[in-house]
This record gives sequence, C-alpha cells and structure tokens, in this order.
Amino acid sequence: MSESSRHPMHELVEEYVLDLLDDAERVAFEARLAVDPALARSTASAREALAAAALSTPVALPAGLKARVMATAVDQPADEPVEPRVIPMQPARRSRAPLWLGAALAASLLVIAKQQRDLAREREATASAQALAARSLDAVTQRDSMIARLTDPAIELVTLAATGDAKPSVRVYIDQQRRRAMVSVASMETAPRGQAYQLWFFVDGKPVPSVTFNPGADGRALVQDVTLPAGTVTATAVTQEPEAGSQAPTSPALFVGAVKAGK
Amino acid sequence: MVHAAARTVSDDSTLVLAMTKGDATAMSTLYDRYAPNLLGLALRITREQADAEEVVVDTFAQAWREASRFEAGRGSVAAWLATIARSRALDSIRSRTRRGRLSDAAAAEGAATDAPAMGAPLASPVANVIADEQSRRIRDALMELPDSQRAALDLAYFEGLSQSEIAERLGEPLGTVKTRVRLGLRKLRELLTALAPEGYP
Repeated sequence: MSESSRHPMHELVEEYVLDLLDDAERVAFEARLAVDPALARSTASAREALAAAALSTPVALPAGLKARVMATAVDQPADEPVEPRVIPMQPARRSRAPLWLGAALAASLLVIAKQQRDLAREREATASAQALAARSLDAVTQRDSMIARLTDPAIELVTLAATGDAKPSVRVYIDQQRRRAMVSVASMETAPRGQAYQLWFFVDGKPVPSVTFNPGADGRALVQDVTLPAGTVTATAVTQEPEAGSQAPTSPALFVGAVKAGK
Repeated sequence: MVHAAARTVSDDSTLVLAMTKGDATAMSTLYDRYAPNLLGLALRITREQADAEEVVVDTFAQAWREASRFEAGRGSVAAWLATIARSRALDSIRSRTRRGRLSDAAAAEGAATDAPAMGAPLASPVANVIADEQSRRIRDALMELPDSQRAALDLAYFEGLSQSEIAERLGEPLGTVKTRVRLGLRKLRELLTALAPEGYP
C-alpha cells in the first residue's frame, strides 16, 4: 500500500460518493482528491459501483419520452467549456524603457548646469511630496472602499480550516455578485525559496487555479480584487506551489473552506 | 457497462464528445442506451411516473448542456448520467415535499422496512423490466449484501438522507450506520469487480 493510499481521506470514499460528508469534510476530501491519484481511482471505483447498482433496473420507456428529451435538450445552448486561469498577485512592474533612454538621460544630467541643480531638487522634492500625498489618498480611498465592500451583506466570509497542524488563519471574502474575492492571511510563514502559496476555487468539484501570494515578515498578506472563476464556486483552498503558480495542485491543501453561496 | 456488457466506455465518451459539437444523433444514441436504466432509477427515487419522466428529460438536458464538462478520466458516462439523474430526482421529491403534495404517510412509506431494496424491480406502471443479463447479474450481486447494509445504502442513495437521519429512521446508533454504509459499498465494489467482464474500475 502506498503512502498516499494510507491517507485518512481514503476512509471517507464511501461517504463522499453518497454525499454523506459535512461541508468541511467534503472540502477537505476534494482538496485531497485533486492531488492523490490513488484516492481518485478509489473514488471513481466507488462511484461506478454505485451507478451500476442504481442503473440495474431498466424499465420500458413510454412513447413520446424520447421526443420530449430531444426537443428539450437540443434546443438549448450548450455551456462553454470552463477555462481555468491564473491571476497573478501584484505582478512585478517591469520597466519598458529601452537602454538608450537611460543612457541619454544620464548624458543629459551631465550637462545640467550647477545653478539648475538646486531647482531640480526642489521640483523633485515637490513631486515626491505630491506623489506621497496621492498614494496616501489612494490608500485611504482603497481602505474606505474595502471597508464598504466587506460590510456589504452580500459578502460571504469563508474561513479556511487548516488540514494539518498549521496555526495561521486564512480568510476569503467572496462577493458573488461582482465575481470578486479578497484574501486575508495572518500568522503564516513565508513559503520556502522558489515557492508561494496558491489559492484555488472549486468549481464542479475541480480546483481552478487563482492567485499566488506570500506573506511578509509579519506573517500577513492581503490580496484584493481576485477574480472568481466561471461557474459555481463551492469551496476554496490554499496549497504550496512553485512561485509562478500551478495549473493543478501539486501538493495537498493546507487550508480548505466551503462556500455556502455556491450550493 | 450497465446496459450492454459489450459496449466500451470509449464509445460513450465519443458520443459525449460529439454532443459538445452539437451532434443530436449522438444524444439520441446515448438516450437509447441509458434512458431505460435512468427511468428505472428516477422511478425508484420519485415513485411517480410523471416525475420520473421529467427527471429523465432534465437529465439529458443537463447532459447536453454540460457535455463539455464531462471528463472520461474521472469516470464513465453511465456514472455521470446516474449522478445527474439522482440529483434531479432528489430535487424533485424535495420540491414535491415543499409543495405539500407528499403527505407524511407517503413520506413514511419510504422507510427502509417497506421500501424495495436497492436493485429490486419496481411494481410501477411500466414495470415491464427489460431483460438484460448484465443488469440481472448486478441485481443478484446486490442481493448478496446483508439486508442491514443494503437498507442503509438505499436510504442514503435513493432518499438522500444524512447518516444521522438514517440512524433515526432505522433506530440504530450513528456509528453503526456509518459502518454499514461503508462496508455495504465496499462489499458492492468487490462483488461488481468480480463479475465485470473486462475489469471493473
């Protein structure tokens, strides 16, 4: 028996396929399911057995039923495939300025007369002060906006439960109407070098990749304006992934939480 | 696998793939393969012919709509359709209960002591059970389950009850019910694996 097949979630396969798990158990099971092929095989086998039993009593079909089925089904538009997408958190700003521009700028600085230097510094100081004021105003505006959003009755707060001994807290504020979410993390260790934490939303029982993030030295992280994926989000989870993020979880979920509005 | 042993899983998957491209003929073929089984399942849950037929209509409508979400690697088309049908059928009886059409007496009728066991043919208006060797063998396998385990599975699957509700219905401790559900489904998997002609998943 492999290491993964001994995971405690293997004891819950039967309850899972019979919809007998509570929300927290179901979310934890699905988080494990996404990264454990043996568990996926066992779950598929249980589901097949159940389906075989459930479908073992065929009955004669009434006349006209097929026509109703075809008329009802085929006349409706099919869903578009759900495309997973990765939304990078706070993407690094890259300078698009070509090298020659820097060289030209440096050259021009060399020819600035000494008498102009003080004036330039004053202008720079003024611009810095104005930029600082603008950033402060932006921060206040953003904070007010965030407070307004968080106090909106439509916002659902999902507190993710740690699947192991981890002590940190992860909260996800979900706005189903705007299709946006915000992640607040506290007391979380910075991921190892080259790694980051990644948020996942579960749609149709499958994990859809979302933002990556890393807490600062104070163990805190706040990720705003996270876009919810298409479809009904039923759960959310956090795993540890390569810094660039993954399209599918490569490690067990560290935190999981059910989304009530998704049911 | 469910209705014709010779059919391969890839055949069904190909049909679903064709449905994503708007192929109504593929849908028609899938209906011919599974509609008798799905109607039997829907009747077992709803116990009303009209509701069961509506479940079959809704099941294929959803399958058509969501064909692009089907993943062959996660299970068979039969299991996918059964999952949809069960969900729609349970929605139907819950809706009926909310509308007050289901009297307490009728609801109590679903108690395990009275309900047909999983896999048992129904005495329905269309109880003209289609002869199907594979289905018969699956039903035989089901009858090998201990009654207590089959009753727990029945209540969970066909009535959508929680384990606490099953415990209350059967008058058994919750732990006993959990054990019966787990052992019952494991035993069922073993039995079906043994009779599968081409290797059960």
